Amino acid sequence: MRAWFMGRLAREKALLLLFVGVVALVWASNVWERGDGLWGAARQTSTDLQVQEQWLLKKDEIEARARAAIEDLDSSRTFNSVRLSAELSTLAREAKIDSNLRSEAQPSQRTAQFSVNSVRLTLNKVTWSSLLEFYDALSLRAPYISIEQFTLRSARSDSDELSASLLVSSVEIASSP
Amino acid sequence: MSTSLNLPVLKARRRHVVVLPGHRFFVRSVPVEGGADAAASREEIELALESMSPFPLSQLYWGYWTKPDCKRALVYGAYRRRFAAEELEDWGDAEWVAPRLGAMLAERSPSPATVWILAGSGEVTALYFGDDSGVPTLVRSTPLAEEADEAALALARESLIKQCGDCRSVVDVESLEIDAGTPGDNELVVRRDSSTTRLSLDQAQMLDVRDPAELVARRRARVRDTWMWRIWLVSLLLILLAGLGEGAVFATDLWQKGRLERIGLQTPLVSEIETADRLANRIEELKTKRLRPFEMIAMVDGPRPETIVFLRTAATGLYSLEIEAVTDSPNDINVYISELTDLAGTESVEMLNLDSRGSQSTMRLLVVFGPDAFDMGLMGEVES
Repeated sequence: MRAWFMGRLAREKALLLLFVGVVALVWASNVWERGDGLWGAARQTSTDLQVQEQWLLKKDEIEARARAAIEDLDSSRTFNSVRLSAELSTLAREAKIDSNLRSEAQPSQRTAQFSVNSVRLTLNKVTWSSLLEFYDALSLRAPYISIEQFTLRSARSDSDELSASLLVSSVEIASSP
Repeated sequence: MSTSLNLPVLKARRRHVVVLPGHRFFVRSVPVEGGADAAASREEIELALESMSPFPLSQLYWGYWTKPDCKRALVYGAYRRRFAAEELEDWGDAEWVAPRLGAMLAERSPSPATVWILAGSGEVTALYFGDDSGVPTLVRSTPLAEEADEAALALARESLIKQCGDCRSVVDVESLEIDAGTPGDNELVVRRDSSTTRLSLDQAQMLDVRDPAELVARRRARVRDTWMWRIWLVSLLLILLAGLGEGAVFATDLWQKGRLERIGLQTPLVSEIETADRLANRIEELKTKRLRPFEMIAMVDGPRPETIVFLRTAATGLYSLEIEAVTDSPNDINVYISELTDLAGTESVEMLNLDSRGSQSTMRLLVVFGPDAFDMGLMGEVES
């Protein structure tokens, strides 16, 4: 091949070199770019697989922990989403603030063994004492019902007039088949 | 009826050499200083040639031969007009243009007082080596008529040997062939009878009679071509590597697809496990830790001066409470913060914002309580 190449005229050599050089550079850089991207993706995939493997390895342990977590709980005292809303309405009625109550169910998080249901409550224009009564009654349902977020506002004009916003969650244990 | 495409085909140029008859050159063996510097040797030889030639150097085709550290050089030249224009046509692309005797000079030095007789191509040439320098001390050529027979050849041979003087050994060269090699070769191959000698292109350039500027240009072209060849090889290597890389990318892509498929299959199960883990933690928290906003409010309300009015309180974590309050007495803010800091159960009190307009100040505080600030037996409640 050396004789073939060296036997070319200078301009033929230059053109051949230009053509082959450009092809080589374009192809090599293209392969390099794709290879680099693929290498990065492969590394990310390896990490994802490792993370998945770790979760899969811990599957039995997590399931055992989840079982243990609900072991102390009485499934008859747990609340599904509907029961939770009803219970909160009952508690508000008992505290005489049911007319000030607005509730909105949030998406539930479920596993095969249990789920956690949430409701966002808004209590407008309530007094401190009625709110405290509602809170005390709610506290008695712990740990089946608990408050996760709480905000209390008072009007500048009347500090006795309060508005509260709560995110209340309940545990629901799936009944055994 | 058949048709054929007459596509241009790149064919390699063949290398060739132009061998000139020796009798058309005057040949002299001249003393030189010698040395390793080729440029200095050349200048010395140019001076010697100018002193002995009736024509200026620019009117001559000339070449020379010497060896490193040799005190003698063989110089030959011919008046340019002795060569017809049609004879010069082949010179332009020839690899080497030199008299026939030049092909013999790269051979190993013979013992002193040896004569090489080179016959053929219409002439007989005698190269006499009077010493062991490897450079002939005397060269004589005589042309032969085309119809010359063996007897005429023998006569010319004897005459030349006599001209050489003291001869102890005579070597008759039966055949002499110069192989120009293939393009890119760095040497010419000289085959004499059964022996082969390699003449490098740098050595051959000394013997070449063409214009020195042309020879320099040819040398530069050789260097340029060598670099082009190297770049060509690198490019081909790069293409080969790119091809291998393409294969590797293809194989990796297949492997990667398989792994992504596996991830896709495992994802629902893993998500389920993750959710179970998260919810188990959450239930554990619900059982053991409770958000106690009213207890927190009660604690921070204790030391509150009458002038400070709470506008908003938000439990931002299990043990932290953000307070937005307003006061007409800014001096009470520091007092209140100090009281809160000293309060049993608080870990830290941080002023997030303070906005004063006229006599009224609005502030935002973040109060962080210790985990045992609300000392209540939650597990006892669960069990009850």
